[in-house]
Amino acid sequence: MLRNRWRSCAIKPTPARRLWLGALSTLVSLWIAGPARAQFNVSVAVDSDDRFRGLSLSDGRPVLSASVGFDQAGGVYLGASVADQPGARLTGYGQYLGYAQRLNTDIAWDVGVNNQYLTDYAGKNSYIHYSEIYSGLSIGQFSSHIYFSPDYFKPDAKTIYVDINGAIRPAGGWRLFAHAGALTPLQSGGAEHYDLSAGVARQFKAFELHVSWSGASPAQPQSTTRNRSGLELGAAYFF
Amino acid sequence: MRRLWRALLFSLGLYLLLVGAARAQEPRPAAADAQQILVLLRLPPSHFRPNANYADAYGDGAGISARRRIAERIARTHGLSLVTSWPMPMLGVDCFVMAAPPGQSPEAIAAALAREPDVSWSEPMHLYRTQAAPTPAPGLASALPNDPLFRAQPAAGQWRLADLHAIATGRNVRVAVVDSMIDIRHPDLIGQFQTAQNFVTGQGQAPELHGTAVAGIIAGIGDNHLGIVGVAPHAQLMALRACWQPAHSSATVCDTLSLAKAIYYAIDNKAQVINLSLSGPLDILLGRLLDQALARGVTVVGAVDPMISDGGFPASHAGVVAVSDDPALATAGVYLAPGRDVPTTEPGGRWSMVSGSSYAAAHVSGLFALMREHNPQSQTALALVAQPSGGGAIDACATVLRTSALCACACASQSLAVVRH
Repeated sequence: MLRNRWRSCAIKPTPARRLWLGALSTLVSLWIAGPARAQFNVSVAVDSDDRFRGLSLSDGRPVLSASVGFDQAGGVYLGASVADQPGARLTGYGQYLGYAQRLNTDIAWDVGVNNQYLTDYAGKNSYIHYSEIYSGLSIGQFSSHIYFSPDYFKPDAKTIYVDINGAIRPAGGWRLFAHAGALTPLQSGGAEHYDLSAGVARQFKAFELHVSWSGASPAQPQSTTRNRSGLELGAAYFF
Repeated sequence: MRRLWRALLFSLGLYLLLVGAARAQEPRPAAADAQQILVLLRLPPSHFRPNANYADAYGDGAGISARRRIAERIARTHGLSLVTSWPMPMLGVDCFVMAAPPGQSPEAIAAALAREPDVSWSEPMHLYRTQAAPTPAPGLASALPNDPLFRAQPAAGQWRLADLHAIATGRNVRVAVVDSMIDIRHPDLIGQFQTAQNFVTGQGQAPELHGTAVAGIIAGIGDNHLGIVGVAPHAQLMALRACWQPAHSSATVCDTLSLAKAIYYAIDNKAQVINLSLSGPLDILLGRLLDQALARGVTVVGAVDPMISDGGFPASHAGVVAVSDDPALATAGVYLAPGRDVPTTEPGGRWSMVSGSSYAAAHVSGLFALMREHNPQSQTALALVAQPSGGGAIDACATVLRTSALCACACASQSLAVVRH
């Protein structure tokens, strides 16, 4: 039943067009922001699972991804990413654009928009999309954001998501991180659900290894098979 | 697709091997080098990034690598070599240390680097020296009986130390001693430390004279039938090694980076008093860190360098309590405290006599610990009672009484008992 409903929102022809549009808009944004006093980063990553807010987006299968990011000195930041599964087609891509400023030495705020697309979602012949506007605060080792989505994984599914994140660096190159989030559907009848994750990352110059656990409450709307908790192992290389 | 997958895994494996080999061949950076330059790159404010592990104010691996790549490019462009780096999110910068070839002016290179678009600022690595007079032969009191040195302590008489301790002992006040390696196992210091951190690389690990002496003056254990009693014997010390004693030398030196790391640690770990018994040239990075400390209500005490007209940095920095042991230097803004012929702890479980404004500063750091026990707000030089006011000789008893709830008779009633004790 869930699967049938899922397929009903599949839109086959648009993903490739949206990908090109996303790439174009990212390039235009980069050009507008200007190269002066900017930090540009590129990374590739391999992960044993693609987990997002407690869900496995890849149905527990490994994922390759590549990301670009750009931090302009004036506070504008933006980036884009693509993800792929071995033996499958392109499974995800997205862009984000935001603005961040420090309030003082400890506190920074940011606002932005985030668009993500998933194709061949969890190995199935379907396509989903969500967009969000967000705003948040970062205070030292902690950050918290609130996100509003008008179309969270299906058209007209309005949601609010709130998260809180923390990270500490116990020793050089090591980072421990944790996250908790709550998703609230704004339509009547929708149930709140929660997710948690925690992990450790170790960076060796431009290379990073990480392992994390994540899980979610069973009320995830998309599929009961995808919200099982699980470990994710990954490696990333930063160019 | 499978080919791409395999190629990527193979590339990552190969990279790991190469990085491992390269790291094994990297030379250890020297701790002190007059040809080193600090390059401060802007650290973007922390912000949302999808598909990234949750990061802190220093950012995630992508940002760290981006800044490292910029630093490598700058080093290449200017013929420098990258030595090390140290994140300083409190200042919104990532600090990279670069080494210049011999014969080039670090000041000129720093000025050129500052014009790079990605650089917030750049400065030469400065050297600092502790403010201690030449030390007599060690081991002065090693054969003395238990607890014999209290009467010899200038603070016992000049500051009526026993009277002060009837009012406050600095209980639970955190005092950061940014100095050389302290002998934390000295019998007159053992158990007085909340933490001990070493921010110096490439130097020996043995306890050193200056830091051990300063720590003893601030928080030597009282009533233990050994050696001395510190000005604030119940303070919690943070032993932050930023200085070192070069081989075959009694001098003690520090550099900008080691001091910056130690001061940063002290601020980040909620030190209430920072003792800086050292002096050197004006420094932008250290100045900004001191401003951070002062803005957070930390008391910073600096030793005056008698050889520099303005007392040297950091004593000359606005907000830092400048202290000297020389009455001739106790002019406006400079406070006079005991600092001559002071018995204190020495590495190896010994005690010795020391002199210099380093030790006068240590006395004042201890005094602030006493003040802050009862009144955490008493953090600046304005809280000191001195003659003349705004500088000059400190009246320790009046100063501590002013910040405590006790009546003014507390010091006076016991003042003679100190000498008889």
